[in-house]
Amino acid sequence: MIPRERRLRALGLLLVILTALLTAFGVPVTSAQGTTLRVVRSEGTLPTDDPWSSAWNAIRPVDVTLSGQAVAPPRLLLPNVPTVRARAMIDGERFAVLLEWTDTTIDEDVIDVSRFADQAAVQFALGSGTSVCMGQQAGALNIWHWKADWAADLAARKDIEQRFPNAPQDEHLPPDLAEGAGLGPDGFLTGRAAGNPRSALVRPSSVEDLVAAGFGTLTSEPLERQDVAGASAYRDGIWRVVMSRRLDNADPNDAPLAVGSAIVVAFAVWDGAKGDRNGTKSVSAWLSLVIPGREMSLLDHWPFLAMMLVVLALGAWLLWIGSRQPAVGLGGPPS
Amino acid sequence: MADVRNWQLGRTMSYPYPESHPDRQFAFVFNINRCIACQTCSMACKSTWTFSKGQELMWWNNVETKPYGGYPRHWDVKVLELLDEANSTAGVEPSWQPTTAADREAPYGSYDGMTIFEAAAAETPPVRQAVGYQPAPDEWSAPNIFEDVPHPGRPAPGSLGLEQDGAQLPEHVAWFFYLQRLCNHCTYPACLAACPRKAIYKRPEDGIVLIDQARCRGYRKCVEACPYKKSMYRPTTRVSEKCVACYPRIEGRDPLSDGMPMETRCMSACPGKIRLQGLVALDADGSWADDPQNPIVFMVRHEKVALPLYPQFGTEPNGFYIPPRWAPRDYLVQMFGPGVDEALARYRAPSRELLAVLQLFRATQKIIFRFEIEEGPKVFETEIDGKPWSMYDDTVIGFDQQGREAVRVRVEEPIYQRPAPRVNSI
Repeated sequence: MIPRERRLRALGLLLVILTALLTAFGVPVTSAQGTTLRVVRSEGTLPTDDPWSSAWNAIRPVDVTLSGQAVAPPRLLLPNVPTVRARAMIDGERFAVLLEWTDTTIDEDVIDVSRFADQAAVQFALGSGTSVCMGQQAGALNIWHWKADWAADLAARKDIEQRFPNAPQDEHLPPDLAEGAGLGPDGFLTGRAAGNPRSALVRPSSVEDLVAAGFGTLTSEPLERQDVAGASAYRDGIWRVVMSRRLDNADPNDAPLAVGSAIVVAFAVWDGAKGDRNGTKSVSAWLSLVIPGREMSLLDHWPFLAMMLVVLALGAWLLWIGSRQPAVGLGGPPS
Repeated sequence: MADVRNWQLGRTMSYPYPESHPDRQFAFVFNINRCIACQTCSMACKSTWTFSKGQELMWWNNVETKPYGGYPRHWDVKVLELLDEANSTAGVEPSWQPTTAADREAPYGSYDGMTIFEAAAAETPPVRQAVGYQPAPDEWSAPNIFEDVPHPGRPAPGSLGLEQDGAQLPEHVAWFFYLQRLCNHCTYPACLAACPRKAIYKRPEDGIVLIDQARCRGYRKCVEACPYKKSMYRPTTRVSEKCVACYPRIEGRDPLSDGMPMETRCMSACPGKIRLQGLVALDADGSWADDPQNPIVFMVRHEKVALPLYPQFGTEPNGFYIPPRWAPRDYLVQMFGPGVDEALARYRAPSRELLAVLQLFRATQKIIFRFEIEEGPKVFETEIDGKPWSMYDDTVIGFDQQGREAVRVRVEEPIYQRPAPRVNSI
């Protein structure tokens, strides 16, 4: 019969080897490893348009704990969305991140004054001097902001008729007067005339590409530099949102997404049904987003494997030495 | 939070931003006693600014009937209730403490209740800049509903507000008055305080409060925070809008105004002549410059005949009202503060100067920066509250920004008699 302490030693060794192997294959073993989001290289087409694609399901998500936003008013002390699950993929050209969270309702109506839309965002640090709270002057943020109302608008922009079908259809401006003033029959649409993207008739994406360098500085990038695509779908109480962009695009206000690099990111989710908007949001701490240099094979891990072999050899040697020594201390007598 | 001076409360109060005051402040005086609720002001505003799609429920100017009316529905009752809750949670019994009459910067005494800003700061933990609420769509949709029913509350469906049992005389103790409302372009705007985008600003030249239509992201924090509910969300553009105080007219850019500042559309359209609007010069510390020849300053600070609307909210509104003579005093005190008795006493038996200045209402579209009075003969004598009172046919002259005469009116309206041959001809 194998002695008890030997059995324990062998079990310990087995656990070390198992942990090493799991880590080598990118499977998180402890919760602390959830602070790294490792980007997976896509085998086929990057599923940027299909949040529920099997390619996404094949990736193990990183569970990211969210907290309230208690720094600047309006504050939210307890998160309305406690967790978001994140996955990320690249192919040769694009980077895509998938956020998934539980939400009992779809909220995409912002026509009604008392309703707010579900939203999600990813922020990327631009430089090292930034702050997780909307950035600061020493270091800005690039923010990708998906909005359920913008997503719902993509097929056809929602207007009062859809939300309030019985609302009176006034003639706002007689056609001759409207034409003379360069206006449509809807009259003056002030926000649209001011170039506000919220008021735009057509938007290129459900995701807004923004820059921020402190509270109240959130600024939408010009239309020609809005280059983040979005796709979203709600299924069985779960929102899934994919946001994607070309890898390096040479825009200094955009996240530098280069193969073989790492960048610091954070996530935020808003639950429209709970009145979330602006600072009333559930936010994460910083995570490290690691983009692999090229397709990884087992041999790519050679330094790690070599180290593991050395450790194993050392362990075996120590076990061998130990078995030849008389027992001391707390060890039992040799049988 | 910074400490700022609020003269209407007679004390300093907390506000998210430190004091910074414009050179002049847009301000107005409304004489509630004269209003006939014809809504010409509301339509003048609507046909100028809010006739487009998405603005159907938007009345930057509205006239509601108190006590049951309110646009949005029951706005003031709801805000007063929020403040009541905050005060009672904090164990505060709000009251106005008298101050010495010599304290020019505390004309109504000193208010020790919590403002909407202080009530928000007292919440544990504090999460917002001002207490408030967001009215639902139906609360905006019928601006004059429930105003002509004999009892408060929602009438039974199909009853058209008629009582099943009929009214029982002689217990008909109903009273009402019209309240004309627009943005008060507050000295300490709650909309501005609550906007996390800093999309709302107060113009340094005239104190007009505006929402930057390019910056607004439709968070509706201003809609929630404004106690007067004069920030409004527009579903077509998905951003909020508010009264712009007809700023092109204030800037003298209306072709009619000869380059001179001109009163807003809602003011100049008033057939009841209840409205007078002006620009009040401010000292560097934000207090009103002592300019008794400015008709607004004269009525508000010297005669104290016009009072701020709900000063206890703490935003230091710049709209002032001559209260109605016939409504219950406790209701009026709740609405206009403790200056009501004095204001009504002065309105019932106006001084010679006040009677002359009251004639300036709607005498010209140009903003009157200064008035002068030329004395005329005594034309009438009577007793008011047991005291002798005389009326003089004085002439009041209003001057525009450049000191040019803009208008000249006599206290006694001139009478023109048709010559006999044309007595009945039209």
